[in-house]
Amino acid sequence: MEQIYSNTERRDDERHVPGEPAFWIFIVGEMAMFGFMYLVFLCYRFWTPENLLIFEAGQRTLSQFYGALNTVLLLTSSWFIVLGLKAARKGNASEGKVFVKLTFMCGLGFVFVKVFEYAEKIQSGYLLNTDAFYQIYYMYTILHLMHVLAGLTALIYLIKNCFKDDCRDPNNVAIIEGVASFWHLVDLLWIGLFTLIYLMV
Amino acid sequence: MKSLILDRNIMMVWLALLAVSSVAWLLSNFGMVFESINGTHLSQLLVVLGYLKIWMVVHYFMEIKHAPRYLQLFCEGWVVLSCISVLSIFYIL
Amino acid sequence: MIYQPDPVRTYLNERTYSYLSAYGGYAFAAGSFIVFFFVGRMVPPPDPGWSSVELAQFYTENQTRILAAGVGGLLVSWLYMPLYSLVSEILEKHYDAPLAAKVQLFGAIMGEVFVYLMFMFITFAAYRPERDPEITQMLNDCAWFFAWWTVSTVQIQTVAIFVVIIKSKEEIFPRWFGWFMVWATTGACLGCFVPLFKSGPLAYDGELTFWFMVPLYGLYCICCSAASVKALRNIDERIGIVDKSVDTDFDRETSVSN
Repeated sequence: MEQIYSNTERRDDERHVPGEPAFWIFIVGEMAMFGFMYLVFLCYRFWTPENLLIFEAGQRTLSQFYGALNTVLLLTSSWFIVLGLKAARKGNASEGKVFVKLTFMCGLGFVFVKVFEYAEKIQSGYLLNTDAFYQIYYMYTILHLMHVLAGLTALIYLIKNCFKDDCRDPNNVAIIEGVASFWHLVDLLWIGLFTLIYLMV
Repeated sequence: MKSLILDRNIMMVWLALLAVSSVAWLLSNFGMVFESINGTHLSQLLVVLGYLKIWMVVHYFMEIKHAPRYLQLFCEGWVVLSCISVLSIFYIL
Repeated sequence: MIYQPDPVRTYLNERTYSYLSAYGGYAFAAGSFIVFFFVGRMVPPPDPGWSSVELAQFYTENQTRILAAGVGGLLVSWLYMPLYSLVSEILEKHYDAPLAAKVQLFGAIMGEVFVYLMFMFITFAAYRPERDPEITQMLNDCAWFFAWWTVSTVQIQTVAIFVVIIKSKEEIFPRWFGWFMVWATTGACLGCFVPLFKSGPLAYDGELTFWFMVPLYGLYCICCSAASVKALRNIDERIGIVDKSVDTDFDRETSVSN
């Protein structure tokens, strides 16, 4: 039977793997790793009553404003890249490029806010080895920040290479889908960190 | 461009994510004024809201909704499993 | 007759050794696991927060066991060499990536040195535990830091392998192997920060370092083995060896269709 619709325009009930199938080993692996890290964080938090006090005191010194601002930035950037992907599927390269640039700006904003936050913490004398809470706070957020930086690099690659006239080509769309999935991964890992490190009472 | 931004389905997901985030932020800051809620339950509620957001990102933004069953099982299974394991720490320790 | 290198002949010449090298990774993972966990019983590892006296006592009490683990470690560590030489060989000959192959091999050699040094230093520490406890403490620290320095060498290996596999259109190593390598690298990032802490999840006996990264390292070796075996099978298929079992019969060369 002839294929009626191209790879880039599919019906809603047709199932397909976004990006390259093997790539999902990486995504699921990252999810598993961060899931384990969340567990470790909570175990340390509740291990002894003294630990709970240290963690609660440490949490109170964090700025929820910066955390919330970062969450909004990442959520918005996720929305933008979804739109960019849709535009690319429709063959609308220039619009797609604008959306990916907006995504990039939001990601860059995240990095700036994070740097401000670190600078503020370091100025107030909270360092990597201040206590158990700050050890985990710095390491987890630095690891996440490394993911953001990797994601930004991938976004630059997208802006440079993937929004040309033939952006509907299935291979090209697969690359955009892969980077978009990675960017959503960065987003959802931050949601977890924000909930556990900043919001818990 | 406008038509894409106003795409109802995706915009609703984004607005829902922002709404859940705001609710979580409000609960975290002002939830303790309700005398009937203690800190542990509030924390559990916040964890559930966080995982709800994660599920929304996975399901709608990552397009796991349209992914093959095995991938759906892995990704959304991870969300559920991780949520349950995090919540169970509250009871074990 | 002038000697002309023929890639197919070269491959067939060493085909059996290639398969043995590839399976060696499983043996390395299994062997180190047995040595480390059952012979040495270094689980959980000595706490970095212990005083030197406590540590010296630990080494005195477990002396025989740790010495046996040291010997066992030296007996299994060499299995690392053929596996990563094979990976380099495949990268160079079948992906045309000689530079990445050499970088990978360099990383593997350094990693091997650190693995040897780790086993050597726990042996040194256990050899005369009645000495001044502070020296025992230093030797113990040396052993664990050498173990954690494999992180950096493994990372350069994984990056080299990843770049080659993902860029290439050929599929000799399976594609999932490349993506697994990136994941291993990101996971290994946590191990880079071990020197900063004496307690908590990132000290050298921490949940995110010891309990997460030692299994990750084992998984990494096993995946390298599995992917190498798959790569050899793919090469076999390309040059027309239909029978997929390993055989040492060199007359097979006659059945090769070029």
